[in-house]
Amino acid sequence: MKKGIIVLIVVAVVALGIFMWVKGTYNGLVTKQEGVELAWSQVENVYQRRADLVPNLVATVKGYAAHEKETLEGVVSARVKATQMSIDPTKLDEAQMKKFQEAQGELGNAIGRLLMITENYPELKANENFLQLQAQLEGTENRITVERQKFNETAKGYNTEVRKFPANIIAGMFGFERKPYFEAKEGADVAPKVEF
Amino acid sequence: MNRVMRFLTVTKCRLLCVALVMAVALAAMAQVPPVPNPPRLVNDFAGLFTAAEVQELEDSLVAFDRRTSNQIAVVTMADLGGMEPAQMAYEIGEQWGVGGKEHRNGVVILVKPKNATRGQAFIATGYGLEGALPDATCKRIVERCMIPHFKLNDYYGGVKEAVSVIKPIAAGEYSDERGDDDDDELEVVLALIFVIFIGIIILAAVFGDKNGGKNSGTMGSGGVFFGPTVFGGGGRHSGGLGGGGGGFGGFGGFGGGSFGGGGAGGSW
Repeated sequence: MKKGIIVLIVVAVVALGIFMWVKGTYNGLVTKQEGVELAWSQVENVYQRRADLVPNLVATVKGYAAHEKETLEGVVSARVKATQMSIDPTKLDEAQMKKFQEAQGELGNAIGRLLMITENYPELKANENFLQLQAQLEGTENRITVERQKFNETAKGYNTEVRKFPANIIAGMFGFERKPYFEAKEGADVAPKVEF
Repeated sequence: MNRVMRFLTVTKCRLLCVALVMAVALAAMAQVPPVPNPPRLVNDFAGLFTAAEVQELEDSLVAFDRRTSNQIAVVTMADLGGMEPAQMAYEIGEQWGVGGKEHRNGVVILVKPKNATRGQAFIATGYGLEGALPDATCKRIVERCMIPHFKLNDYYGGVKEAVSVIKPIAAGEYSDERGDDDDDELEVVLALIFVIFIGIIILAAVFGDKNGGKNSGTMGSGGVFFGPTVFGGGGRHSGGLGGGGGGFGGFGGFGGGSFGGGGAGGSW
């Protein structure tokens, strides 16, 4: 009789211990996952910011270099592609990350080409509106670099947690998956450089 | 077997990529100057200002920080160690925590004088000031207020003019007196009172009336026990605690602000 009570107490304590552990680990993972999603939304924000600058940039350049049609249209269509991509941060995986990076990289390159041809138009380069846009674009590229870096750091913290024992058991049970990283320059994120 | 090998190679490549990025990031961080101790807003590492100029600028920036909670840090460096000025200014702002934690209202003015290489100037804005100080405005400040002076080797004049332009703009966005520190202090005091209160109740319950006189001892131990935990969180503000009684002492310390790459610069 007494034995039975002791066993019952032990079982209860163990069960409570397991429950507390699962709860703690699970909630920890949720918090970290939220962090990754927040970092991702910041990344999307800064890319959106760049896309928002494009119409103004195109309009300004058009005023001085309307016959550079091909380059101008290239930027516009790359922008459409880049802004069409919308990614649900809860389902962010390698494939989607790759697609996102490709689309954004294309827009980056198109903007780079556009800025390159502006070198041939001294009047455009002296235009106050254009100078402002250029400063904004540079700032946006810096912001993109920063937010990507921050996203990678947050994702690294989360991924490490997901893979570490024993948290990986909980992660596997509840479907916490590894988040992809931004990979260093595939030409995509190098700030557009002007070459002569 | 083949698939395993391929998987391994792919994983290896990925790891290498990530490692490379980290290595670059680490190498970059190695160049960023550590947080000055004691904290200062004016950090003339390149030795461009006279002692009197440093003092004057520091006093005015500290007063501005007290009055409006905006923190403007001025940093001069003779060499950026191969980093872009934008990145250096960002890293300084982020790592030092220039600006308040809540408003993230910090500004870093970075000047690299013209020596063997081109002169570089950059104004980095914390998240909270990106709206008031957009990149185009920063660019204009650098080009119109700073570089003309810098070209004449008048580094102090350029920085002073830039600061005088930035101040009213930043104050228009945030103009709280250093209030968040007071909140922290209040929390600490409340927590201490609470702990002491609980301590007294426990003691009273355990020892009854006989040992009532020993309460003072408990107060002490309660404070010591709770002290580090509470101060750990707000450690950066701890300088502010002395500020109230100590008169117009120095700078209270960086507030844990955060940067997102905003700002603009120029070179000459």
